[in-house]
Amino acid sequence: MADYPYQEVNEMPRCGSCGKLLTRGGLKAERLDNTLIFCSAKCLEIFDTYKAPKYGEAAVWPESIVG
Amino acid sequence: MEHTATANEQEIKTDPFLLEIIRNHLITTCKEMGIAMMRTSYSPMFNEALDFSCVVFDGEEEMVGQAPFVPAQIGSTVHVIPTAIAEIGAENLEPGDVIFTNDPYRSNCHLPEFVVIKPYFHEGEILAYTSNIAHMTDVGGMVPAAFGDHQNIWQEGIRFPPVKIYERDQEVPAIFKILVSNVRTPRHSYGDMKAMIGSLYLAERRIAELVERYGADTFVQCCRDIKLVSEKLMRAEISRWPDGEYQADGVLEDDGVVPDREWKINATLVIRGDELIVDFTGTDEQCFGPGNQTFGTTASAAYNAVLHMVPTDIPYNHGCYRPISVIAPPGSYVNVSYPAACVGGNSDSHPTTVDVLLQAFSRFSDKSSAADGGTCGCIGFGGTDPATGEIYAHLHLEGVGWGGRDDADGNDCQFVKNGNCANTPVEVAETRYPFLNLEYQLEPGAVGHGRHRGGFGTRRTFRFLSDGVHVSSHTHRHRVRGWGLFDGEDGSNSVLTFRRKGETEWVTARQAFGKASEGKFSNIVMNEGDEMLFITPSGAGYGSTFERDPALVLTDWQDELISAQDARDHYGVVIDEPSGAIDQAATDELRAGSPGAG
Ligand SMILES: [Zn+2]
Repeated sequence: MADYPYQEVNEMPRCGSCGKLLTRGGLKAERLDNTLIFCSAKCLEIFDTYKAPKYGEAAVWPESIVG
Repeated sequence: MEHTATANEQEIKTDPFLLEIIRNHLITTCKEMGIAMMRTSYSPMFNEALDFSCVVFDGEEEMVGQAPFVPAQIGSTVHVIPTAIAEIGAENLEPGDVIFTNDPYRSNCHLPEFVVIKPYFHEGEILAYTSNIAHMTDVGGMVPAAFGDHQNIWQEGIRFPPVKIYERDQEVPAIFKILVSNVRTPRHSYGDMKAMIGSLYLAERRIAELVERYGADTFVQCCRDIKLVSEKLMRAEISRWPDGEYQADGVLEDDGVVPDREWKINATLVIRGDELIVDFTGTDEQCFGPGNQTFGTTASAAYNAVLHMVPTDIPYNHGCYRPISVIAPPGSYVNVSYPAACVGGNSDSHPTTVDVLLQAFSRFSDKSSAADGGTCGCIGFGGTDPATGEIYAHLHLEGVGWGGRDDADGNDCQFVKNGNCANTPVEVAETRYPFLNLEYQLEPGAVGHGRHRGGFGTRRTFRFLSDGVHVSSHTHRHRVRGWGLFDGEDGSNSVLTFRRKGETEWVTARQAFGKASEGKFSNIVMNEGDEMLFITPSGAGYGSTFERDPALVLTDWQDELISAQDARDHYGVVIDEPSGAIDQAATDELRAGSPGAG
């Protein structure tokens, strides 16, 4: 919403590992040709050591791509 | 790369005696908050069903104190509280402020769960947050008392993103006005809200006493150590489990919108040393009705299942959750996306999620338990009370049978695993609302048999005493049964039926009112003299029925919970009814075969 300072939840990203909505902050990282956002270093580690090796490109959720 | 010390490398710095004193002070504070809420609130959901949870978080926004309230709510606080604080900004908080939200998409459990958070300041710094999360009976929307067959969030009711409801110890009138003008029971909602906020002030006083007595630095260090102790204990437990991946799945029978379509929850436990990943990849997409789980509900269900598998003497706080990671795909049944409905995810999907995970644990452990009744029995009643002229909304909760486990039968008539809620006593409900309970008892016969059988569900018949009572429901297990473990039998089904005054036939909402589901529907109108029968499901059985101690079979027969025919058919135990004794020779002969063969 451009004319009012409220962001609806569908405009906010979800952590690339756990899937939690991030209302603010987060950790950005380049992974699998995308800039993804994570809620914590722990979630990034889970992505690198479990999710990406197991699921490949399917590990990337569109909701976690931030630019 | 800089090495971050692991939990096992870190040392507990606080004196162990002081640590226990402060840890127990925080737990007692939470209990005291609960008692205050119970005594000062208006609605039976608070003062009878006790559907609320009180917690204390430290300045690092991590849980350091909780008491045995509602597991579903407690687990979600780990996510909803930091999420709400982040959105407002801790830097924007002042002494006397209270944050309020009920937004399910922001890691809350569902819309009726109201969350209030108060920062505790000491010399300009936030040292702790006192908070509680409580189930508000009515939140506006299309049905009284929130549970039905909603298809989007706007039908569910009024939603508040994180806002300040108190600023510098003063009510923010606009927030209260918007709240009370959007619900059916403004007096209850206002009173319950004030009870919630009052308990925050009480807890703040108790924390201030600690800080004054021991000093801020000691308090801060102690909070870190409280979490570290639990984290170490939790990691030690997980280390004992065999590394590997353990998969399980289960279904919810329908979503109240699409008839007969089941929705699958798939889970894989990934054990890696002292860490556990709970991966829900492979779960179905989000459904069209309200059965979807929020991220907060799913994370909470994962914690709930894991805590069933570890010793009960590990102090529950944020440290327990640190070794557990959850993967919940956005837009799936276990991580709903806006604007899909989700009120029933916290009531009926959470228990199935826990049971799916316990099924996965059973791949390597016999300490797991068979599935429970899998429904909170949420039936909402609403209308105008002819005696008072007041609009009412009442949420009925009901106990179910729990699953058998390795060392005992399942509990009878107990609220499912996601809550510690109580039922509203018959006398209280009948005093406040226009209906009568004609019968309320355990439902004999229907149970998941096993070496340790499931617990029994309940049977209750209501008669309505006035016209225009709107009945809505989100209940489960009308067609899908809870699963047995290790050759135990599956549990029984729910029954929810209606009978118009003067009629003899009981009919389901689907048969008589054109609804898509027997258990998930909105606004059936009952009139004076009409009746409703609700039978809740039993728990499932654990272990082979032929391994059940015949003396326990006899006791169940003496208690009129099973028939002599059940004893023979399910357990291979022959009871001589005239003498009331076991016919040992006939029993030995039957048990020489296999269960079900006779
Ligand atoms: Zn995350």
